Amino acid sequence: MIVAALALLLGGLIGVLWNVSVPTGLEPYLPIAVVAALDALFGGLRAKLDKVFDEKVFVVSFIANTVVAALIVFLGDKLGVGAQLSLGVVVVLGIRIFSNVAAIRRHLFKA
Amino acid sequence: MSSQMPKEPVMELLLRHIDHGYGAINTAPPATRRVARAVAIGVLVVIGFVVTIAFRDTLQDAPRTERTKQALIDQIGQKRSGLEALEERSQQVESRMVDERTAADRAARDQRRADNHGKDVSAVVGAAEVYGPGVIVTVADGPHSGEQSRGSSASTVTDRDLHELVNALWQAGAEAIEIDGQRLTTTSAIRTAGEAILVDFQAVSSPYEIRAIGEIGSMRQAFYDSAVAQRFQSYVDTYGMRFEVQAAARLDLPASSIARPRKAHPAPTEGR
Repeated sequence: MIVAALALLLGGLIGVLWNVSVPTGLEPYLPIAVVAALDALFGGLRAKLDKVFDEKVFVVSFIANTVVAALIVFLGDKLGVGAQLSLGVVVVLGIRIFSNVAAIRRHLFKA
Repeated sequence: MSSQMPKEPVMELLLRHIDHGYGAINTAPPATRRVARAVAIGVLVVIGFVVTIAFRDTLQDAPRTERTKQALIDQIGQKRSGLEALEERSQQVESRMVDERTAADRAARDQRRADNHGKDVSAVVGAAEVYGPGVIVTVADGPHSGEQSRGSSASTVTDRDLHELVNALWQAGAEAIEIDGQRLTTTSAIRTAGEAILVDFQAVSSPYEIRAIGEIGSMRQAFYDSAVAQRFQSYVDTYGMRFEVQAAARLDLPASSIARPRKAHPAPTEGR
């Protein structure tokens, strides 16, 4: 658990120190990537609290969700429905995040 | 958590908020587990990195989006003031149009007034045919011997008589007068030439019919009261001359051709 928190902080530190600007081609995928990442994060956290956490599942779920989300956005761009599809992705992942956070809350506060 | 594969992956994503697989019993060997652990930590680092990058990116974009918004606001302001200027100009043009229309109406009215004035003047001066109620004054020479030349007999109507009769009629309110078909104008002359009386170069003879257009009642009365009318009334008995005044409901007087003035120039007048 501590290791996980430290790993996250390390990633944040690198993001703060490494002054990299996002290439414009990747700009539309950034929000999707963030939401997919958050979804994997909270999913993993809930699994940990549910005592069913598995590293392999965590990694695979993160990569799969990110790739699928990016593919959907890319396809949407090509078909001209980019905004709508990315909205759909955000909505679905958002629902999952909410649900996982609620479960985590139940664990933490027994409420 | 059940480990069965749901039939629709999309619905799985939506309904089972925790990833399938977390519930399965892990049977991998420890070595794989250590690798998986390391990768998991790497993924966590990546997640931290991505989230921070996205946050920074949005932060950087903020001034740009703010500037774009401000530029748009400025543009809206400019267009709006441009629109206001155009509206103002449109109002100015409209009010000028109203002014011009009023001026045009006024000019038309002035033109009409001038035209009517011109017509009135023509009628009064004698340059136009006129009709109206009036009186007919008939005077004629009394009986006299044919050899006597004109002017020597007291019973002859002279040009002076006609002058006085016409003057009396003007005085009584006549507006148009003719003698034996000769319309009197502002330049008309009544004079004797040899045996005849000429009105504007046209000879007239006894009986002299003087037609005058005017208000019958007042004109006739005023004419009767005039000195010349009284005098002629007495001539009827004394010299046997003829003197009759009769009213007419409608008299038609012809126009006279008035020559264009050669020496009299109209003085400049301000607009009436």
